[in-house]
Amino acid sequence: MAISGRVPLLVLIGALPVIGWPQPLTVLGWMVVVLVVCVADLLIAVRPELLHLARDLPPSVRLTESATSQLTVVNPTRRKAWLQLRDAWPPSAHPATEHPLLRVAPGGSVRQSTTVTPSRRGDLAAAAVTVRSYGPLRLVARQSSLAIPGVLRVLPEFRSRSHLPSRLARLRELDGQASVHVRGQGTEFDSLREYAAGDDVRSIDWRATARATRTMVRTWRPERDRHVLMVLDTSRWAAGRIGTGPTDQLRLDAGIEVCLLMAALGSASGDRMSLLVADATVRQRLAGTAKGSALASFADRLSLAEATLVETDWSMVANQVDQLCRQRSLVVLITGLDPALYAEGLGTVIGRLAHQHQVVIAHVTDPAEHDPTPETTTPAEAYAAAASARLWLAGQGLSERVHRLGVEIVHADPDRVAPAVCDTYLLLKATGRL
Amino acid sequence: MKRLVIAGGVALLLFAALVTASVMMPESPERLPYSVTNARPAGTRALGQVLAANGVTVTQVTALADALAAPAGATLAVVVNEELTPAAIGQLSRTAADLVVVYAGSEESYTVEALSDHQVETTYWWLDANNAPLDCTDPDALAAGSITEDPLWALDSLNANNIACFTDEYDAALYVDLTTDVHRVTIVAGRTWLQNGTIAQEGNAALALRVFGRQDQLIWYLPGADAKTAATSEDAQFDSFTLLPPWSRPVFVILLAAAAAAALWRGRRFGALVKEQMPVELPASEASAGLAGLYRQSGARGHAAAALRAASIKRAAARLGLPTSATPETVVTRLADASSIDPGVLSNLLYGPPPITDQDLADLATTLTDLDRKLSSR
Repeated sequence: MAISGRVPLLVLIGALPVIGWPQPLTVLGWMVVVLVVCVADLLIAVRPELLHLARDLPPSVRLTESATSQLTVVNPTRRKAWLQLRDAWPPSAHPATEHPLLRVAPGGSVRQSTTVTPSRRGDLAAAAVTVRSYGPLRLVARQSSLAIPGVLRVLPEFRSRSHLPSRLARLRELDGQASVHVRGQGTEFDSLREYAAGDDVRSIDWRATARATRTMVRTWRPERDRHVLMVLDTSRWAAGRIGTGPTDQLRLDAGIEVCLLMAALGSASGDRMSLLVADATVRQRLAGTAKGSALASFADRLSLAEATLVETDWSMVANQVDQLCRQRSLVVLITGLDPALYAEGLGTVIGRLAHQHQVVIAHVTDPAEHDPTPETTTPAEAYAAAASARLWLAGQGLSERVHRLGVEIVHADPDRVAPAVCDTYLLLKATGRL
Repeated sequence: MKRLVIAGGVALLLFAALVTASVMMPESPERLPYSVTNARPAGTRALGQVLAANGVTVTQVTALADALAAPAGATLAVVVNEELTPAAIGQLSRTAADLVVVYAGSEESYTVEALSDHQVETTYWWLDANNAPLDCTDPDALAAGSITEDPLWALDSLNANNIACFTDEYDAALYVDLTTDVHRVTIVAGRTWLQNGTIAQEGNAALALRVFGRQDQLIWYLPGADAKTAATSEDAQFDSFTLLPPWSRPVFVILLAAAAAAALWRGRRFGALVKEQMPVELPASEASAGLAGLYRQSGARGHAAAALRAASIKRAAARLGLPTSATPETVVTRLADASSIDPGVLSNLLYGPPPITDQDLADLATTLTDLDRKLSSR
């Protein structure tokens, strides 16, 4: 049960008869009148359990964009219903807080839209729908919460998509659409065609020329149909929050951006994209998707990635990599190169992985930490600078060691890591090291 | 859970109602000290019963009007625990019945002074001996011999014609008998001498039965709220509603009810709160902050300075294209060329002894930062 603002007003109107007959009995009488009217209103109100409610919800929405959850109410009773509906969502969905009064005629139906603007990635489950059904005087309502299930998947924001056009242009350049039909590293045989003026005479295929009695040249194109595996580490490292204020983000978010940008770029260049999200266990596993759909399926899977406070089981990850990669592949490990953990963790498998595949390690750095010239005026700041210098040195040393194994290492700030990894990918592609 | 809360709320409301009712109800005379109907140790029921058995009509009153109705030829016993209003004192002083003032003597009393027509004052009771000497010829006091002496304040008779008994070294008395223009007034001081628990001790009972049994009728007056001074204070007497129109009180009740309804209207939640699944987060720089704390705690200035110098050299070497295997001399020479700083100063800065104080470390860090800036802006 709930009462409306009309009840206190009705009680206040009682001041008029009380001024006329200033007796305790008048006050009591008025209270009884108000109570009787309220109880009658409550009894006439349509019971919320009798209403039919249905929810209409889009399956997914990208972070920072808005979605509309639509509730349809059907009133199957013979009485008119005055309703207020609250479509409850978790606070991070920022649902609209307006609850207009809806009038539903007997047998009629009405719709209410609630706009949600999620501020967190993942599956957003709608909470119960609370219905207030008022009586004809709209004094008192029957209130009841009904479970109308609904899940909205909030996809990652993919902020780095602004870097995609320039990388696609680089890719087209590589792809020969910009007249680089020459033999070289990172290209494979495409087809034979007739010689045209300006072609490199070194690319004439003499055997084919003899067969065809016309001068034939071989054409080349960049390597295609390679396999790229993105490995996203969701261990304690990924839970680190970088920066403060409105631009802060988790390392995990930056890693998701890397995966998404690589998915878009890789599928555009015709490579097969696989995804592995793992910490102590496998969280998500997506084997070599069909061309074109990599970005959508990546976004769908990555929306559920959450950091956990555990250490990554690298031997398990290496086994998973073996299962996912039948051929030599590009394996992008999005993880931290922490000297304290390397020897027991990544260091136990990196040698084998680097031998079998081309490995790229993407390390999201904290801009505040690796800034080479921090302001140091107090001893406390000097100690902080010394600590970060020591960690930086250790990290640099480790990077050099790992690089000697043939592993490419990308150190970049959260906002720059996704394009930096893509640049490395394009470089590897251009030099035929995939 | 919800039902438990509701049940608890109802129980709390009932308790509150009970407390309110008990506060609103007039206090029963049977529970008051010095009441002749109170059978507890602090009551005086024993006295009342014995007097009644000896043919004295004992009536206990708490209203001033009932006390004033005492006829001539009756005894009016006034129990003075607190000060009475001047009006009550004046009326009691004019009553035809004889007065017996039961003075507890725990504090100074103007009432006792006024009821004795200002022939008696209250004063400190000071007794070193075990028993106060009788020191008078009053037959009632003589019959008692001695009484319990436990007041803090006793009586000081100002008129030599008065009979004062049981006196201490300073002539303070426990028993004073005097006659005013209107009636006879007997004043007895003592906290416990009349009470059920102690009346059988010493000569308490003898004195009490003789004093209160002088007449056939005894009116036992326990002053109620209408005679006590607290009730006459201006704040309590003043009712602000008397200044307002007659309907203001019921309208005030209506306003209260409307406010309660509004609270109910605003207070009812539109459905339950929704839980949010919070992501796991920690500061990315936790390792660095922890290491800095360790350095600082242990005062590892040498380690800290070595780290700062090594990082500076590494950055500078990368910028100038020096191999990592370069000797300190090479590094200093090349850096001196690049930054136009004296090689001796540079050598001391990069390879000098570790700093001694924290401030030296901060200065070293600042100088290294300046060097970094100089090289990067070259």
